[in-house]
Parts: sequence; structure tokens; C-alpha cells
Amino acid sequence: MRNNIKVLIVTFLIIIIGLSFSGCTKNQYSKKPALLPALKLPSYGGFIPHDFDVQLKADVSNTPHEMLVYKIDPIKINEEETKKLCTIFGVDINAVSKEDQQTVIKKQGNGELWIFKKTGFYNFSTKDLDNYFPQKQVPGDEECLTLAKSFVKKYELLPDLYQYRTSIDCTTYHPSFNEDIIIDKTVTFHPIIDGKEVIGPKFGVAIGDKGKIEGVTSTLYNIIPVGIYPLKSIDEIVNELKQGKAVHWWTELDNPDADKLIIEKVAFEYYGDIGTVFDLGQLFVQPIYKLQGEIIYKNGEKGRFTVALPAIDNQFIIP
Amino acid sequence: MRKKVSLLVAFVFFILISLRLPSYAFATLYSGFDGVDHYKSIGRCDFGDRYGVEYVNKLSSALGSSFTESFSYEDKYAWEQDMIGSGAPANYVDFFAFAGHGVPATFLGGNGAAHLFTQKSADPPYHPSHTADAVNADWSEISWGLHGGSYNRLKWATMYCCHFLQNFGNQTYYNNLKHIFNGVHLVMGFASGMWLDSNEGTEYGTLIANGASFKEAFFTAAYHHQNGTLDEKIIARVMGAKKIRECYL
Repeated sequence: MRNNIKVLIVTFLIIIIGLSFSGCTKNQYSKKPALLPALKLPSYGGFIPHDFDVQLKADVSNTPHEMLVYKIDPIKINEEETKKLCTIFGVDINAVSKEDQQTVIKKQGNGELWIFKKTGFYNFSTKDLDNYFPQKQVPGDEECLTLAKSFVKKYELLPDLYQYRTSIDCTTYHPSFNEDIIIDKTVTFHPIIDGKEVIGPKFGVAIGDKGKIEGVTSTLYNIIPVGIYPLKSIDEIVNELKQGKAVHWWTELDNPDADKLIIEKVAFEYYGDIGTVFDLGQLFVQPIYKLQGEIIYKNGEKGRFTVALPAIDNQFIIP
Repeated sequence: MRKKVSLLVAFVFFILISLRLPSYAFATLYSGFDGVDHYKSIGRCDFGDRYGVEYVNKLSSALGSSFTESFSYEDKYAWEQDMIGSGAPANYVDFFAFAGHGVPATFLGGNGAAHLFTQKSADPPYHPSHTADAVNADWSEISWGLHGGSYNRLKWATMYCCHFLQNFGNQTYYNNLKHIFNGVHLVMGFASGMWLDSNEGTEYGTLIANGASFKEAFFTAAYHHQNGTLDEKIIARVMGAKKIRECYL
């Protein structure tokens, strides 16, 4: 009988210890996550609204109270990866024109490949990128999207960890007033994680004459989850707005005298600093509140606005 | 004899190469900077504080030994006179950069401007209004480049602020904007709003110092730091004479 009890106790302990190690008895992430550095968002160059009233018209009943924070894990470009990039872009692996601690530059013929060692970012360009010549013909948007998507798929250039939103921008040449000639179209792949876009890192494919790829740039990195963090409430965010703590604005109109902000949409995104191509910046990818709506000015003018603020509860930010 | 022939060939080659290079390839290059951070906290300007000083400092540092820094005026020491008139300090350097606020041509009666909070002095009173002449170095007052004076030498200007190169599709504004070009090779800037991120200065300067053209370095850094932000379209623009499409150090 005694032996049976002992066996039962030991079995019970083994099950408990086993469950503990498997992670089934607790959250995947620590309940007391480490403090994070304050997120530094770029400041808007135009008039930043100040001293305004705020009206919240958005439905905030389903906004999350906590979100995952990620740490940046740069992509390593080893010898094999360098060889792969050289093959893709038609540059001889031995065509090194410059190499130092930060960068390897390989130039050959019309092409130039820059690999940034510390960040794992790279740029490829041909002489035709952003250059006009009379017979240059750039395909339509749909064709450029198809070309860019098939290019990144063929060479598996995008990390699987993300989904991607695509956008397309034109580079134009203006020989005189009212003359716009499209000389390149850049298809950008913006990473999305947990259904939210990561502002900062991106992958661009520039398409030029007759669909040729004239430039490629990658500032993508991998990210690793580090913990679930509590978020500020919408009331706290509105208070920060009123106190003039937001810097990452966009306003449709250039008017210095805001009177009232009507928040029509509250969403969440991630901000992932890229630093520079040479050195990474802030090492954590943190959630941000993105608020959009209408701004009414003291002179009666009305325009649209967007503003983003760091979303992590200030208790978890290094003072 | 063989050695002499080699030296002669090398000398002729050097002369030929020299003829193809611009004069500044062998000269000391000078840079100058104006950066403004404390528009509101010092200058009481409603634009709000920004990272203009941080941007120009990082840009200057990244350009490294490519240029000898001639001046760097920050906050209350950044004045309109640094940029306007033929005798402006900006006209005495090869590379000039301003970082801060830009005022659109629509706001200033047809002339875009680099915005400051000082009134030609480091002392108050500061910033009487957004449209006061002294706080705006506007297109009609700027004339950059080689125009006769023995020291005027500005070749590359970077205006890291909103709207400085924006003519809003208006012919008059476009003609007004052309006033700033008086020999300057390239002016880099924005034809829309933008965000100030000092890392963009580091990237732009380091790319130039590593041999990228001014245009490509500016476009690359702007693409990395401006594109995709808040879903808004930012227009980075480089303007210059048709013949000067690329400039390298």
C-alpha cells in the first residue's frame, strides 16, 4: 500500500514536472517581461497639431489589451548567400571593387551589388535605374506587379515568416514643366506579422525598360517573439495626444491651427526600425496605435489626419 | 629606357584622366550645415520640435573625410542669411544641407522656403509668425551656385524638410523655384511632406562617401526611411540641369 502511494506520488510529480517543461501550464512568454527601450518614431516635417479637442468616434470595443513584441534577428549573408545573390544579379563573385568591415561592393559591367555585412541588407542597381533615355518603356502597373512577384518567388528572396502587402511607386523624369516621363516603377513588399504591417523593413524591386529589373533593395530582417506586453488604453492614448506627445503625424492640410480631432479609426501596426543599411537601429519591433480621422481647423477648414503612437504600456518602457 | 617609357605612358594616362575629371576631383571639398530642432521649445514656433540638428550632425559625420566642414549652425545659430543672397555661407561650400521645417509655396504666396525660428540673430524675439520674412529662406531670396564670385562654389544642396521642391503643378511656382538654381549642380529634397529620421542622414552620407552618386544615395536613403510610412506617398525629388544627371565624389 505504502509502495503504491509512493509510486502514485512519484508519477504525479513526474507529470507535473513534464507539463512544466512542455510549457502547458503557463503562457509561452514570461508574465514579467523585461523592460523595453522607448520607441523613437520619426517626426513629421509639417505642422503638428496642438491644443485641440478630441472626439472618439471609432469602435474600440474589440481593441486588444496586449500584444507580442519581437526582437530583430538580422539575416546573415554568408558566402553561400553572397554567391546566390551574385548569380541572381549576374555579378561575378570575384568582382570585388571595395570591401571593408561594413560593406562589400561588387561592380561588373552595368551592375552593382552592395552587401551590408552587419545588417544583412543589400542593394543591386544597374546604370539604367532612375535614368532616362528616349526609348525607355516601362510596363503598366499590373505587369510590373506580376514581374516583381515572379522574380521574388523564383529566387525565394522573401522570408517565409511574413505575409506581404505590395505597393507600387513611380520614378518620373521631368524635362520641363508639366512633362512627366515614367522611368522606373518600384514594387515594394511590406512585411505583415500577426495580420499587422511592420513599418520600416521592406523589399523593393525596380522595374524599368521593357520589364527589366533595374534595381533591388532589401532591408528585411527576421524577428523573434520576446514576450506579450500590456498595451496603453485608448484613454491613455487620447491623453498623450492632447498633451502633445505624438510626433509621428500626417495631415492632409498645411494649417497650424487645429481645433478638433475626430478619431474615426483605431488600428494597430508594428514599427520596426531599420537604423541604416550599415547598422541596425532600435532592436525591438513594437506595436503602435494608428489613429485616423478628420481634423477641423480654427478657420473651419477640414482635412484628414493619421497619427501613430507607441502602444506598449509605459510601465514596461525603460524610463 | 623601359622605365622611362612606362613613366611617360603613366604620365600621359594621368593627364588624359585628369582632363575628364571635374576640377573639384583634386580640390578640398567643403561642407556646411544648418539644422534646427527646438522650433517650439526655444523658438515658440507651432511647427513643433524636430530632429534637424541630429540629422545634419549624422550626415556630416557620415560624410567623414570626404569634406572639410566649414560651418554647422544649429538651432538659434541657424539664420536665414546662411542660405540667401550670393554671399550666403551656403554659397561658399561645395555641399550644403538644411534639416528642419519646410514651408510650402501655397502658404507663402508662391515661394517655398526653409523655415527657421530666428530673425537674423541668435537673440530673441523669435518667430513672430510663420510667414515673417526673417524666418523663411524662400526661393526668391536663394541663388545657389557658381555665379562669378571667386568663392561661390555650391554644387550640391540637400533640403531635408517638407515641400522645398514642390511646385503643386503650378507654372508660376515652378518658375519661382527655378530662381534657386544659379549654377548649383543638384538640389535634393522633397515635393511633399516627409518625416525627419536622423538615420536617413547617416545612410545618405555613408552611401556618398562609399562612392554612390548623390542622386542614388538620396533616393536610396529616402526610399528606406520614408516609403510605406503611414501609407502616405512621399515624393523625394532631385533637381538640376539636364546635363547633370549624376554626380559622384
